[in-house]
Amino acid sequence: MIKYTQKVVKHPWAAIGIIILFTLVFAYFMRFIKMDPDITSSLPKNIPAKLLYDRMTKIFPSRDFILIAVESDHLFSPATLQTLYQITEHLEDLPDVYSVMSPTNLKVIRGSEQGMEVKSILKSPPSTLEDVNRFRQVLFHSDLPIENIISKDRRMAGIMVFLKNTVKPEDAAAQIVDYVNRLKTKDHVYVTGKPVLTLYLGRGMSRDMGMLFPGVILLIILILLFSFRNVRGILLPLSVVLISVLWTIGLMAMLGVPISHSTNMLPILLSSIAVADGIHIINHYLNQARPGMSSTQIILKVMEELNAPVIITSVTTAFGFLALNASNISSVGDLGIFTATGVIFAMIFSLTFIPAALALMKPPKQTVKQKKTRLLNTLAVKYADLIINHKNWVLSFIVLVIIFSILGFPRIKLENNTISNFPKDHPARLDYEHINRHFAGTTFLSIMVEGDSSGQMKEPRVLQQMADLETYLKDQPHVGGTLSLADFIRRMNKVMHADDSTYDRIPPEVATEHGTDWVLENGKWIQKEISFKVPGREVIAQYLQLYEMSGKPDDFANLVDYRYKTARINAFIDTESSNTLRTLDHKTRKYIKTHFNSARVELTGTSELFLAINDLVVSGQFYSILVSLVLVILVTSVLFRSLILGLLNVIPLLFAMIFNFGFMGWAHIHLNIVTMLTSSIAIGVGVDYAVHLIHRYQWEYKNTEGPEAMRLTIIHAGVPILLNAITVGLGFAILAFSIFTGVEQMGILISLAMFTSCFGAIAILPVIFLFYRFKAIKHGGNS
Amino acid sequence: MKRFVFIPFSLLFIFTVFCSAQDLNGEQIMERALNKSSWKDMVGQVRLILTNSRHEQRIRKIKMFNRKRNKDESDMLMRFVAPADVKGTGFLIIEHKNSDDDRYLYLPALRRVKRIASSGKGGNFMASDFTYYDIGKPKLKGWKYKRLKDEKIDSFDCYTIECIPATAEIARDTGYGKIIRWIRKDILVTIRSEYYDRGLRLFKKLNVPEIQKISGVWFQTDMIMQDIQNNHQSEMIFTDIKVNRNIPASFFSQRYLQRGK
Repeated sequence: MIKYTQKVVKHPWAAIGIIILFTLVFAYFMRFIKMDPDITSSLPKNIPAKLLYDRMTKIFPSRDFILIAVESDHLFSPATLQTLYQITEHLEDLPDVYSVMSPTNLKVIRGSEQGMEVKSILKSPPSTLEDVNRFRQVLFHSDLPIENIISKDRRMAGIMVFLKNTVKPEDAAAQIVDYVNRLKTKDHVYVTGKPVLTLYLGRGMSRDMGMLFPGVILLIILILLFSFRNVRGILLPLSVVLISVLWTIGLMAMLGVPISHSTNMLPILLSSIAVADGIHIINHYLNQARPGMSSTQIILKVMEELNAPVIITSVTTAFGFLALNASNISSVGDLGIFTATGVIFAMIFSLTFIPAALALMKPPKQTVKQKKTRLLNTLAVKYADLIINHKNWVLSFIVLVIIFSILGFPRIKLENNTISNFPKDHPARLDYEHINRHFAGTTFLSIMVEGDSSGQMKEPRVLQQMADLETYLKDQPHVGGTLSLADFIRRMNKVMHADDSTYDRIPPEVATEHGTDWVLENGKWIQKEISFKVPGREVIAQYLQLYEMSGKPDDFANLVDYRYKTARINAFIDTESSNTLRTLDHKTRKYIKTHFNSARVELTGTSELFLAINDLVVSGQFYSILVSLVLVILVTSVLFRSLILGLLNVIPLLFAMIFNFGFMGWAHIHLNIVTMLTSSIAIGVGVDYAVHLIHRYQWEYKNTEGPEAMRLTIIHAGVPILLNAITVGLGFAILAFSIFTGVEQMGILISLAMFTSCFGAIAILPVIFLFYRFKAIKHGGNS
Repeated sequence: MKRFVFIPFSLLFIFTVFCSAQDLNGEQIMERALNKSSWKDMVGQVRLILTNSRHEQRIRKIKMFNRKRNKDESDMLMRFVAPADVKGTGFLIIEHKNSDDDRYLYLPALRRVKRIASSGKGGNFMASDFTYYDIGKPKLKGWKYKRLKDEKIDSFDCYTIECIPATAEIARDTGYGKIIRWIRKDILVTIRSEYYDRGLRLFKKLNVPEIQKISGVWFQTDMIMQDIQNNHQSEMIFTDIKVNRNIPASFFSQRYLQRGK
């Protein structure tokens, strides 16, 4: 390895030139980086929930909707309704919009003297109070599900804007939010829906990137300034950080991998990790410098010692991150792959760029670092004595912490909630909460009812079971309303029977109808009332035929497919809480199993996607911890040429994880798609501390035995380990300034994990080594 | 000698056609196209094929009876043959020159004739992309015509006529802000149209891939209407057309609609 360093310092300009060349290439590609804040798009394509969701998207022309709510003290006044009418018309004309459902453009089915008519509720904006009253009368007697277009207190009007499946929802949301903000109206207008949340999520991510990355860079500069107090000590590690982040983002852009809710954290994670090697190298360089030595001589000496640890810690960290791929969530996997790549980039620059640059500079003047080092050393000595003399107390403390943590486990709640991820006063959250409090809800559960043949959705039995299921759903908490073809059939049946509410039902299999017939009496044709039986299916088909006579070809396209083979029921839910959705999902499935047998039924919709993510979070959490532990054990066992030491090496990590989950339980931090990342990241980064300690212990053990070897180990390795943990921990703590609660909590958790794994390395491992003697320690120490 | 006479005669003929074509303005061409020799009544089979953006189809088979009550008004009776669950359903349209049309639907499942509230000429004809206006005979009055540059469509010389509703009322009723028609010069049959919405954005395109001369009358026997904005298409294919069978007036009554007698 040192041969590589020799080459680098011999041709420093070549090494730097190559790096700059690549940097330019990646910088060019960086501009093509895409954003994808939608959590559901990171679901694997081949899981049933996603396949089903995609199939639904293919059958029905619109999936996502945005709900705009206009709040007014005088909702039913000409002025407000005119505004509403204009907004509705404008939205209908937007190219991204599939259809709009608003109080002012509602198609009402009304009984007429001789039949049924389908009419727009308003032909033109109402101008008099009379018009308004008539409108009001028709609206509330339409029998149509209006829970999402008129609020419960009737002070707000909702406009449901269904987007075309072909558009990017957040782009359409941006347009609509922009339009709403430009509206000049006295009334308060709210906007929400999944596309709007995704839009705000993206904007929040951009803001996070714009604030947190400079924040972490500033912090790094401060730490470097504090440690080295000279320009090269700041510039060189900082360059490593910046170049490795740039290369990584550039590579992502090149490969078309988007910045997602997970990869969003990459620059901060990578910066905190990437700076560590540089600090080690510069620190050593300044320490090793003696008068009379050339830069090249110093750097060769430093790298001879540091090449190995830099490579080892980088590789173990990279493996730890790669374990994130054990979760099936693609964005989390991307974070794993690209952070690992970034860590390797940082390693390459630390081994290339820093030596090359140092070789080009003059050797440093003697620095005045002695005093500080001495202070730290005396502290380290005191600490080492404390551990060695009071190992029983330390052990009891550790055991207590572990018990306390384990008691917190049952308190961990699994909960993904896009809404509670936003700060309480964020407009996205305020609007969402306001709208969902007053309307049926903006999260939807879609129940697909699939027949085997065309026309099956016109069968009375199918429609009856759909209507029953809707009744059941409406009784569930948080379900604000439902919508399906069955609602329209019921309405038509009632209208066709002179608005008799006993006919507000699906026609039976065999319907008894009263009609007329023409008979020839005395040479004259006259009409006579008759009663007869007829298949319900024909009645329904002919209602639809009648509807179509005044409807448009695609009126029901979002509720039933073109051939009446597949229909869907949409249930609107006023929460995104995965626990509520889970309960509803279980109950609905159970109900369907026992009550629905006329067609195949599948559950999908945004609510089901959220649940699928939740499942993956649990399994992903479990597997990625398992995989990263196994990887770390494997790598370190090879490294130490001992399985025992490999196993011992993960003890601090286990401790950190136990504490992490215990803390989450006690602090009410939910396990979700963001906080799940903590353990794998903590393993990847925290593994270094134990490696350093064991490595040093083996080395000290060669000369001294027993407690003295441990004392020296703590004194010599303890300080760098602690400094490293502080640097990385503070870097991650920057995440706590994210606007998103999830990221904020993760920042705190990882920072904590850095300190606990550091504690594990400099307290738990020493105690274990003091209690037991491992042969492997003796055998090693020469690697 | 024969030849000698023939040449100037044909020249003369060409000259007159040329002249007349040059002289005619948009309205005159429309007038000629609308008033060309026509039928008194007709019977035929229609296949209405609706295709949505996913290329799924709904196919209806209809038997159609049509009669000209007078120059401007006609009656139409349609009887569904397929699909099965609407078989026997009948649809009767009585056109009125100065008021909304009467439209009745007979539903055999209910044994009742239902009056369909008129949605104006712009309403969709049986949930297809054709509106009632599109399937009816266009009225000359109420529109302003402008002759555009002649064009060749499918190797036929055509007049290109731009039609613009003369009043806001007609625009609202039909839903159109502009129509451009391509009318074959030789037989004065429209073989292509473009319909623009009231915001003057292209809305629908009509293509007529097949026309047939039956008993001396030209029929558009295949019409494809494409809704450009909603990516939906409707095709009407006519077969077994017979004209001037003297269908009695009683045929177009509510009783006949229900009874079939």
